[in-house]
Amino acid sequence: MTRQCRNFSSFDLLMECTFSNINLFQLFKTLTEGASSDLSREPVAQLVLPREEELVIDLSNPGLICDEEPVIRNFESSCAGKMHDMETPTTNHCQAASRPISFFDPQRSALNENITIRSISETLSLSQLCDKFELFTKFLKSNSDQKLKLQKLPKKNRLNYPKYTDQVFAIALFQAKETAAQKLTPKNKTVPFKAFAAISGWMFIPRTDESLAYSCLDLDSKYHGSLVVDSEEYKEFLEMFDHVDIHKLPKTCDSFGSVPEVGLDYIQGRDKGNLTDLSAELRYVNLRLGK
Amino acid sequence: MIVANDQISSHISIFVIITSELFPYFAPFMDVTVSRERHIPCVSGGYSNTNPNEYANNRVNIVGSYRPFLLKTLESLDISVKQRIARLIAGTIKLMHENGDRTDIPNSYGNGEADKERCKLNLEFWISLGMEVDDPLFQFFDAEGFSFISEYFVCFHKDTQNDSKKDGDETISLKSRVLITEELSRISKVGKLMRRYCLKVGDYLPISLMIYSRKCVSAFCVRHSKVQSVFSGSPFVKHASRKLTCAILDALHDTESVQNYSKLWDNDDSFLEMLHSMKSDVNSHQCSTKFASKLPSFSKDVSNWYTKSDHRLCRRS
Repeated sequence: MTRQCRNFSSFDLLMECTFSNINLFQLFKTLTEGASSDLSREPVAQLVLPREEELVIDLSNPGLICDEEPVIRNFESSCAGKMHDMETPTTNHCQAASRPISFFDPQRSALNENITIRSISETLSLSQLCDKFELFTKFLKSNSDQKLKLQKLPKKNRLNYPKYTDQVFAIALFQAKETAAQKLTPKNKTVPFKAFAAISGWMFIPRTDESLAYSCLDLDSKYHGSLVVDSEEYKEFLEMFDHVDIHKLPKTCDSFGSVPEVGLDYIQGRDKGNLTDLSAELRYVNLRLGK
Repeated sequence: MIVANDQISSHISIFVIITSELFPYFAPFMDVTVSRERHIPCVSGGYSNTNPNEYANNRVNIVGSYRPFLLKTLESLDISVKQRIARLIAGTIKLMHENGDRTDIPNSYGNGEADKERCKLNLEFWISLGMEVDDPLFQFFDAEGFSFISEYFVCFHKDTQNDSKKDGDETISLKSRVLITEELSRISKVGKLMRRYCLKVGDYLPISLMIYSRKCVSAFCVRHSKVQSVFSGSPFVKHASRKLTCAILDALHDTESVQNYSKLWDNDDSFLEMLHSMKSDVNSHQCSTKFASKLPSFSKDVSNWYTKSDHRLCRRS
């Protein structure tokens, strides 16, 4: 090279790099790594796109790589084989919950009293899982356009029309395991299948009239959406996930709650009546700006 | 830190009231097109990189990397309304953090280059909402995007725009409800919502404030820190080609240089015109090259075209 590097045009420099076996890849990696979203138009960026984190099925049976149908364990979720139904806690439970509560720790949780526990199947064959995955894919397709779902409903009859409070907000829970079992995963199984198989439960948050603040971790990888309780879709959903746990948050709770295993913290307001009155009083006519 | 129940309730009550008060201001901006196939009316603010019209103003290097930029959806709102939104966001985050088992302050960034850049972007967002730099609430303003959304029938989806890095992807939601009054029902977007969900005056419309982290912000900060490491001669960069890499980076980051072919696409019409005029040149053997009418990319074709038409392009520009 006879010229000073800094006087090169960028293209000249790139060509120099190419022909002098400079680590050009490293350069572009430096330039583009981690920039998957805003470089989507650039083929260069595609070279170094970070791979989507694969969720790994905990497969204990090496038979999976053969043609046999292996038994897939229920991913050993923190409370495998149990259904936590906390839909109707008593008032006392709510009043007692003045500190973070773990639904999964009976020692700490006042809300855990009188929980109904239902045993569910702990094992599921691969073919059964594949069938369920197919159903889930169909479910997502039909669920992708809520407009269609609404049109099917008897719009004129308000009494039959599902209300906001008829719904639950469902969040998928994962139990991703980074084990050597990843190698046993069939090559033809796609990332969506693995993600589906790693669903270890669902959290149902009832829609209520009360104010609620919550924070939830990892919603970028967890499916979440609405279900109208007692609808056909809801029954279909429950059948589809009868092999995993369903956790339900209480409809009413006056304080802070936490589900650490799920990464969910929530706070519900107390004085529903007062809130209603206040909301009515402080309509936008009474807006107090900047306060 | 765990605060008393009464305090929690009063905080939530205040936030819910603020949301319902703000609703008439942002309701006219609610749009189903923003949420694409989900058909859920919402209005969003914060960082994004999905608006191609902003690329030209936010280009950071000549191979087509862009800095994330702030959405201008709510720009026309009164400054006092924007300030209330900022306080509402920071207050909600503060409330969640004060009640959780987390002891760290959300916006307490480290000394790393990526952290500094992220803090800078957060501050820019904060100021864009009309807030003061030294406002003590800023330490809780760990938000890169927010939405006001009416969460009726949210279909199953993943928040793919969230920052998926560990500890980064925390979505915070504040659910409120707004009493539909005669005045509100006269706002066209609200009327549309009422018809769609079979609501009438006197019913409540659920409105949620959602607070997100953004992948585009995190990705930009990581890349920025890596580039700065090379520029500053960081001891972590030990490759023998570091000096040359540095020089190349320097050249690539000169977005004003004539070699920045990306900027030719800033005005599609004029560039297409130029390409057509070049076609005649090809026929007359003045420039033996091919061109493509697609978006710029660092592909062989473009390089080839670029190499051979370099001088002509410079002259034309």
